[in-house]
Amino acid sequence: MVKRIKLNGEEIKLTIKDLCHKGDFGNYKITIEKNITFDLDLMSKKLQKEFKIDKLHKLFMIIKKTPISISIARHGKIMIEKVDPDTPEKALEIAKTILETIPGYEGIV
Amino acid sequence: MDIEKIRNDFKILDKGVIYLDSAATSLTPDCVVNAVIGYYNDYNANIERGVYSFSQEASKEYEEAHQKVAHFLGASEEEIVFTKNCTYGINLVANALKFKKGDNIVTTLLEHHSNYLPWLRLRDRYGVEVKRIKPSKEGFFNLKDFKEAIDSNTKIVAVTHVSNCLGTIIPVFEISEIAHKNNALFLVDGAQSAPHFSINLKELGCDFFSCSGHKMLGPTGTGVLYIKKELWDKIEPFEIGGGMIKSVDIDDFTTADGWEKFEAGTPNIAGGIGLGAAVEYLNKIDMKNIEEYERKLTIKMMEGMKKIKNLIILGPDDPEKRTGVIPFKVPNMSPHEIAFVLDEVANIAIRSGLHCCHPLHNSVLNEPDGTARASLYFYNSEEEVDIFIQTLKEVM
Repeated sequence: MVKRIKLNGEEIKLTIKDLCHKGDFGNYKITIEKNITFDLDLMSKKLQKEFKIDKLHKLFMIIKKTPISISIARHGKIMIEKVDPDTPEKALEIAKTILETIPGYEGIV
Repeated sequence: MDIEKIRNDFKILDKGVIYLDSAATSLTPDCVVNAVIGYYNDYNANIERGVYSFSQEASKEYEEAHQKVAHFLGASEEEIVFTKNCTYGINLVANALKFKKGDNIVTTLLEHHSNYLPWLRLRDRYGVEVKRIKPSKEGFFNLKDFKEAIDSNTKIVAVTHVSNCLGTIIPVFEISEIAHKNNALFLVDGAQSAPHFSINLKELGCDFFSCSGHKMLGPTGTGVLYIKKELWDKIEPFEIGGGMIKSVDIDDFTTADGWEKFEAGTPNIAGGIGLGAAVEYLNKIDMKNIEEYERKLTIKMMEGMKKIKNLIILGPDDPEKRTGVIPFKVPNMSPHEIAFVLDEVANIAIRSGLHCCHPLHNSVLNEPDGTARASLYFYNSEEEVDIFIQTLKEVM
């Protein structure tokens, strides 16, 4: 699935692709198709409280909200595991909570 | 083997990727890329029927590619059918054989879906029984289980040569003897063996051998199916049409002999020629050198991984009993998380998940989320293995 988001006034492509999985849960990788660098420290501080920070590295962050696990790479990639129901729309809905922590994010177009 | 020189043959390595996913598809050397481009730039034409020189040249190159692959696998040219991948070759066999109720098929729970689902479908279509031999967690079999399962009603036994999940090498010759003693046919899925060690199909004891071209340096969309000469008359092609006939009249047709019988329509000419260049390149390096070097790398990688606290390697511990396919797991990190962070932190490409082996992960390994899997090939360097180990330590 391809969507567009608005970041600092600019429309940017967002791709949502499913990954290998089994059963009722889905795993998805969401990529912002533009050279971008996340400030992971800042994003971690702006996260909703129900997310627990599992790993915070200078290049990536892994956060959990049982059963969901979200990995965020500094270069604009987000991976969400255990998406239920297993649809790209649900993955995008979860991803919105992460996108909202990016400075300049204005929403899905 | 001069690894640095070999690595220079793979332009994509200039991008700095540490490619540890060769069990999924291999990288492509310049000679293969050039062979494909050469076909399109220098003599692009359809094969076998044209009088003009381009068509003759294309036909010659495509036929020679069959000869090169036949030489590589220890078969004769006519026995080598070009397919689009390993899966297609196995489906060709499953659809070409005639089954009746009461027949049985013997396969295993170690198989890739490509050597599992075609047999399940025959069960649903013809009511044949599909018997499945269960391996140990390391991927080993007890040959007694095959002796008990294979009987006079067994039509075909279909087994992988090397597990794509665990790297385990399977004693296919011993299984072929059990199959043939019961007059059953024997198919080997060679997707993970043909790229990594020397194969002599005359000595392997199989009737069919299917492998992927793209896993042994060839272009994607290429594969090989070996059909033993003695079986040609018993196997009906499941695709018919142009290119595979000797003669056609209003009511009837006669098929061509050899591989042409099984390659209906215009084939992947450029891909086939590229595959010929790939096996020529492998032969030049020598498969014995490749096997030896990969074993050395496998030992180095496993030793390095064993030193990482809490990391668990799956599959055989003995490097003589496995290839460079190394599945592993890490507590508190999912396989996808490991793959995701290795990519981000050090541009390391590994695979994660169930590796198209759901029955194995469900019924044998009890790993519903699968594993992370690093897989080596001869273009990987010792330095890359060191970086992989170092990065794993850093991110865990």
